[in-house]
This record gives sequence, structure tokens and C-alpha cells, in this order.
Amino acid sequence: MTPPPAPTVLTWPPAVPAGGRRQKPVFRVLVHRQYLGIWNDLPGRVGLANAQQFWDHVAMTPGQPPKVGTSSVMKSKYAAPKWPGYSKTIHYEITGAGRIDYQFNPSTTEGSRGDPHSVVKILTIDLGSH
Amino acid sequence: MCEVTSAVFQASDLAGAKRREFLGAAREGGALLRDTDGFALTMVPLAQLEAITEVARTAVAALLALAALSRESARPAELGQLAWLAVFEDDDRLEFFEELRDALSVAEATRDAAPVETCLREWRTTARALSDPLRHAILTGPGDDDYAEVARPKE
Repeated sequence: MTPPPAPTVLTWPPAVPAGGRRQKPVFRVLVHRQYLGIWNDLPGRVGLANAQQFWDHVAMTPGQPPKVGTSSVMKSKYAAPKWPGYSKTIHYEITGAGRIDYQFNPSTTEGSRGDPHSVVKILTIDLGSH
Repeated sequence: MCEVTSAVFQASDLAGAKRREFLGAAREGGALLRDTDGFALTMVPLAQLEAITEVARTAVAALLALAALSRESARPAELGQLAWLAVFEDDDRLEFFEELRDALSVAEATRDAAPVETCLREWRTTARALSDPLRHAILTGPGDDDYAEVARPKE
């Protein structure tokens, strides 16, 4: 399958430029409902700054290596895109705090609106050993 | 026998003007020192020695794991350092060994263990993800629509 094109906005940090106004996220961020509870606990488990850094990363540049923490493309055949146009699964490691797996699509027409938009889907979250 | 040094020095060189030359050759990749009885000693950069050690250790671990996997129903303990490979299926393990072989070749040629370390770290990360039952079910299953949009975390 042809890999999706790179995200259109690749700058870092995206969150708060000099004027103090946060840039609008490029990607909508979706979480698998099995992990919504863990997601809601994320700031308390890994720290607000780490949780926001992760969100800023996937909302702006999910296809790039993170500025903080590490990421790698999942190995094995199961890394394949789960929906047309999506990336392979990416493992993101929040510094010393856990791992989050996601796929992204820079231009999908999924959803009720039908217009092209960019989406990150968080498949799983692992904070178990921390 | 592998060759890790090129410049050859005598024990007496350490006390003379050649001492700097000896250290320079060692820093450049390797210096061979002949003791007064002909016994050979080598000085190489620590990172290079660690890389050679890592390549050898990983290659042996891979050979032992391959031997265990060639038998039917190998238990994880028989895979030694690579016990985490048990979570993968045969075709994925084959892909791992192909990647590892490439990484070992590059590491041996460059005397830099980074490709091996990266290969092992990335496969171990996936193995850890697949060893959790819920994560395994979602990561290996087809994509579903059971997702909800979330906002940037805040206090």
C-alpha cells in the first residue's frame, strides 16, 4: 500500500508562539473507547506537561520523530494500516512514563461531514509498568 | 583472526617520544603494542570494543535462538536473551532475523553497535505491546469505529 503523504505542518513547537496564542491543531485526535478512561487519567499518571507534549506532537506532526520522548514504527505484519490511507502503527514512548500506539491519516474523508481532514487514532495506551 | 589494529609499537615507545603517537593511533582505531617478550596487546577506543562485544553477544544469542526455534515448540526460556521473540509468529520472526543480520553486518563493518541496538529496541517495543492481551487484540485486529475525539489535556 502506498504510504500516506507527509503531514502539511511540520514545525515545532506548535503550542504557543511568541504572541502567546496556540496554533490550531492540524490533526483531530481520537482515542479508542477502550482507553478513554486511561486517557482521561493521563495528566495525573504521566504529568500534565508530558501529556500535553504528546497531544501537541500528534495534533501537529504525528509522522515526525518527537522533540521529546521517542517513537518507532511498529514491527511485524500487524503494523499495517487499519484503514485506507492511514500510516503504519507508531509506538510513542512518553519519557519514562508509558507507551501510546497510534496511526494517522493526513487527509481522510471519514465521518459525517465528508470533507478532507487529518486524523490521529490512538489505538492503545500502556501505563501499566510505571 | 580479526584485525583491529594497524600501527605497531614497542613497549619502550611508551616511555619515549612515540607515546603520543601510540595514543593517537589508538584513538584513530587501534594500536598494537609488543611487550618485551613479544606478547601482543591492543589499545582501541572503548566505544569500538563495546561495539565488537555487542555484535558478538547478539550474534551468539541469535544463533542460539534460531537453533531453539528450529525444534518444534520451543519454550521462551530456550530463546535466552531473545525470549521476547516468543510473542511473534514465524513469518515475523523471520523478518526480525533478516533485519538483525543486516544490522549486525553494518555494525561489524562500522564498529558501531547503534544499528543492532536500534533493531533490538524496536522489536522489543513491539513485543512488549503484543504481550498485553487487550493491546494485542486491538493492535492485531481489524480497524473499528469505536473511537472518540479528545481535546488537549488540561488541569
